[in-house]
Amino acid sequence: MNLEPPDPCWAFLKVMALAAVEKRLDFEALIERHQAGVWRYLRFLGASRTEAEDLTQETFLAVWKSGFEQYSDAATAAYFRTTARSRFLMMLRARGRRPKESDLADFDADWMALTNDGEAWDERIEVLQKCMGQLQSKGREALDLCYRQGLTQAEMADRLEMKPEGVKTLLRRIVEKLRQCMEAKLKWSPEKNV
Amino acid sequence: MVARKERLIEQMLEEIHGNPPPDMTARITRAMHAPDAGTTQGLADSPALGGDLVRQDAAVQAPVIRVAFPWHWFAAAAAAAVLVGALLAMTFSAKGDPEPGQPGIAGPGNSPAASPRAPRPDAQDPRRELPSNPRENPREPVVPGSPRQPGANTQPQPGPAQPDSPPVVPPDQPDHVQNPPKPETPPENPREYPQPPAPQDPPREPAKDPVVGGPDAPKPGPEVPKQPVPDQPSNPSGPVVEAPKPDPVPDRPPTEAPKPVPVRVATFLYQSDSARLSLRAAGETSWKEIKDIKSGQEFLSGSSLRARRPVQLDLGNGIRAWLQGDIELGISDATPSLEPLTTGDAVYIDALGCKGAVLVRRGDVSMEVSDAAMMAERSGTNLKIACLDNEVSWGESKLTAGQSASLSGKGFSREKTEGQRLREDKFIREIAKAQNLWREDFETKPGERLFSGEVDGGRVIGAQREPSIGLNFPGGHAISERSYLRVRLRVNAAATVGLQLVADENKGKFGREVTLEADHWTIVRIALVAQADGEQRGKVGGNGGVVEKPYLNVLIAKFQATVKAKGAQLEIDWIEIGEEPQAK
Repeated sequence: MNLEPPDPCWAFLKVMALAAVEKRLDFEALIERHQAGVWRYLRFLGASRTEAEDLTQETFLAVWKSGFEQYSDAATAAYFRTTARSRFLMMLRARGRRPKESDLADFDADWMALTNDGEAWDERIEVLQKCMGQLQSKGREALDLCYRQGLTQAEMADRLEMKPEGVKTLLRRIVEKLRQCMEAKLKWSPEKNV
Repeated sequence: MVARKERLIEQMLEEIHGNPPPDMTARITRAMHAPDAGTTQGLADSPALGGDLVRQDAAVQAPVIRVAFPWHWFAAAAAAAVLVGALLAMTFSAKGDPEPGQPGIAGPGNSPAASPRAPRPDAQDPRRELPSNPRENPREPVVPGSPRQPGANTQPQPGPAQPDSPPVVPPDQPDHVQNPPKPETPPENPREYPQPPAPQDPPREPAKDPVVGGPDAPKPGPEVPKQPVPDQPSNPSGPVVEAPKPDPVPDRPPTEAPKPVPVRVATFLYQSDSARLSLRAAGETSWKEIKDIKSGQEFLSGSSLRARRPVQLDLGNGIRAWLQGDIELGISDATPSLEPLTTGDAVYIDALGCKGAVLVRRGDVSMEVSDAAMMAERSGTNLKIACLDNEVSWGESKLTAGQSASLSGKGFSREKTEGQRLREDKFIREIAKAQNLWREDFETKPGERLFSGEVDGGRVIGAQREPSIGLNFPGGHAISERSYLRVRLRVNAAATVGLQLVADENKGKFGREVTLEADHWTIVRIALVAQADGEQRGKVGGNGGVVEKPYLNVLIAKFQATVKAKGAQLEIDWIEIGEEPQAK
């Protein structure tokens, strides 16, 4: 019997290596698919843009380190969200704040309800744009100054010839109006409003 | 719920108004493969996960793999390997004397496939560097306190987890395999498998054991099971273990890239009080405070500087940089580069009127700055860019004076027009203070201080009389040995312009003439004392004498400019009087 002992081992190792490569490529595809959702979810939790960027990266690295396996898209998205929320909590605690996990627990349910697990984001955006079309020109101008040009309320007050307090009130009312419009169009449950 | 809906709407408004989520795919994958793994703790010490080597292999082999080895083959191959291994082990143990290669099969082949959850320590591959790494257990929680696979109610979690065992193995396994696939190595044993990038070490070592130990070497029975664990050099059968030692060493050198030769990037000019400038040389990890630093000390590429307060450097070609925080110095194609390393670290670059350029970096993103004054501050993973004078650009996007934006790999985002508020930044104010800077931007009307000319859109337009432009300084400015005057001006037809400074109480005036091209903004910088010493145009009082040293400390009360061509119109964007800070 002519046995070649190294060969099965070689084959085994090679298959292993190739499997690992495959796994990496799969994970990169997961990153591409889920990173925007994780980032948005972190913003929804209250992270700033840059914090959300850092935490998104940490979330994916942590999941990658954990030897993650994908079962389904929904489960994966949920897993990413939980890891992201945990990272967010850790960040807050590192800053000396004492949030409880339960404080953020119902955020997840709200996120699911409001965005359909992030899947319906684009659709929500379209609806919001339609709602914005119903605003008066001053309201649209205020949104532009605030969100596109990034002006402070004082600067906006100068531009709009209003008092800063008036700008604040204006923005609050605009958002309120947009919310009511979204509730009507998307059948978000207004009865939950407290 | 209402508040959360509104928060969501605000998020969407941001996106609608041009601030979508950043594309972080490249950043995260880079961090996954980075040796130090970015901000995530512990990845650096995890070859099982980081794996530059694996990454490189992946890049090379990916196309082949996808076609030739789909996932489902893995389980079959693993099972086959285990069977073959077991068969061989039985065969050899029956023979009593190990054949070449036998230990290799018993080691790496068996242990991972048998049970990744409860690996026997003595069955582990000796080359496996992370026997106790928590990631060996793929079920280890990711984050303390966070549930694994939280979609427990939405997915088959605990049940299916058990059968997952075989697929869970690969992440660990290939990593101790990754060293072997070195491209040029000829197959050690070409008899059977003409394997492409031959994994040398694992198979080769077991093959050598018997060779080195030789069939002559009588081996006591108990040594046979020990051979798969050659990580203990203290093994009593010393010669047997020592022999394979040369293998890993010669494999390393070809992978090392030649180190770049450090070159001078900057020279020290000045540091504010209590700046406590520290240096971290290239390749080192610790900072060393530089005591008794002298003006002109050179800093090389690859080194980093740490300053608690603003420090001024000369980057050559007349470009001055101020830095605060941790800044890495580099060079790229003879262009110096500065990279703020952590959030809040900042550089201010004044390259106005200079021929050269400087790069501001953040990882792979870099922006070239030339003929502009700007500040770059690290903000998270991006750079906050503030253009203070002229304009800076990245790709086709531009920021003009008074604008700021966030710079990432996708270019500028969140552009804002901040105007003079940019100069209210604490870092900028400290720099201005160090320079004893007085500046007139004409952003707000100077009122009666402007006795000739008219302010329009942030600049002053000369009157059709002499002087074209005249401005009183508030409080006066005392001339020192290092004082300078800097003006940005333009004429609508080629002309000579006389620039004059008039001393307080009519104690003298001195000036200089410059010839300007038409319709071209020009920055003129005049070293005031140097002019007093060497230029024949300096005048004192009414006697027409050359200005000399006594002219020091005189208070400058006004500035005036005159166009020496009929019909030509003069515009001035700003005027500065300051002094070069002096190293103490």
